[in-house]
Amino acid sequence: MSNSTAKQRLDQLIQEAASGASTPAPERDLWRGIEHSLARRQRRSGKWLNWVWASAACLVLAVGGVTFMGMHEPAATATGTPPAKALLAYLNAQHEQQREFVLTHYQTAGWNGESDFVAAEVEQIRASIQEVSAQLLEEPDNQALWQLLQWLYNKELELLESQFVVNDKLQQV
Amino acid sequence: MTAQVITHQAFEDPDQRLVRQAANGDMAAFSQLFERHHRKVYGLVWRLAGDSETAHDLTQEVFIKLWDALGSFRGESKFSTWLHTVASRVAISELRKQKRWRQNITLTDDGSYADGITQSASADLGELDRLIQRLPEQMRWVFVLHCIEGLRHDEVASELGIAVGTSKAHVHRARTLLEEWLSDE
Repeated sequence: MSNSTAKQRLDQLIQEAASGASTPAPERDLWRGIEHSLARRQRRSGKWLNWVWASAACLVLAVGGVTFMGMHEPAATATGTPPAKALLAYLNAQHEQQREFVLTHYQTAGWNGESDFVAAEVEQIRASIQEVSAQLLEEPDNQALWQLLQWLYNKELELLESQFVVNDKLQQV
Repeated sequence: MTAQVITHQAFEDPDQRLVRQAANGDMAAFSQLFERHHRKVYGLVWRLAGDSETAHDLTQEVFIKLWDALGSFRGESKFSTWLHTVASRVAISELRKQKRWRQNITLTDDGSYADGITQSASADLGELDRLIQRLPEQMRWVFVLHCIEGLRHDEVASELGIAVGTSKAHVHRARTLLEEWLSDE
């Protein structure tokens, strides 16, 4: 090929490349890695974790309050009277709020984490929360029950989050 | 005033709505932006990096950084133009970091430099892309940004932190080498 022909050929190749006609294309799906990385960072940024910590702190205060009331008003609390009932209603409402926050946090970000396995587990946890709540009305000064309720709240939030993580990993695979 | 109105009317960015949604945290909108632009970004970073594995990683890095930077996009230029600037900056910055620890550059017989990157299988590449893989790194960056991406020499110089004269010299030398290699084929 002569020099002038090579020059013309080069100009033609540059023009083709600039127009996007002969651009190299990725050989694998790059989106999943990006989505996974952003999801991991959002989880790490832990906006919703602040809620969990706040709720744990509230629960500790609440349990402390109930214990205090139990010590000073044994007759009232022993029969599941309004203070314990109101406190339970407040804690359950707060937990529902956190639950909604976790779900909407992921769903508005475009993740659909529906998983039958996790849904069944969550269902069991929610049933346990109801049972423990009912029992707490009978035994409002039972520390172990309050701790169990706190554990169940946290477990449900962890499970809800895990379905997005599991789903994302499965998509990666 | 009139000129300003005309400018705004004449400048319609097809990505504007998606960019706004993605900047507000909408991952589905961001996914659509990715679908629209990732091939062009991959093409650019592939040519800057010279191999496909690095280009895959860099493309992902560009979009991850883009997610953080969307809030700073003011719409003064088209999104695609801005994205290209982000992509070339991220790619060059990452390639420089990699180069610092690689440090296995050797001088080849023809006076050019070949680095230690494992080059891609060239069977599926266009003629020009096969040849620019053989250019030394900085010369390749200048050639890609000026000749293919259409940046002016002063823009290339500013982007790479080199003198305008160096940019011009690189383009001249790159063209000479590429013409020689084309003649040999």
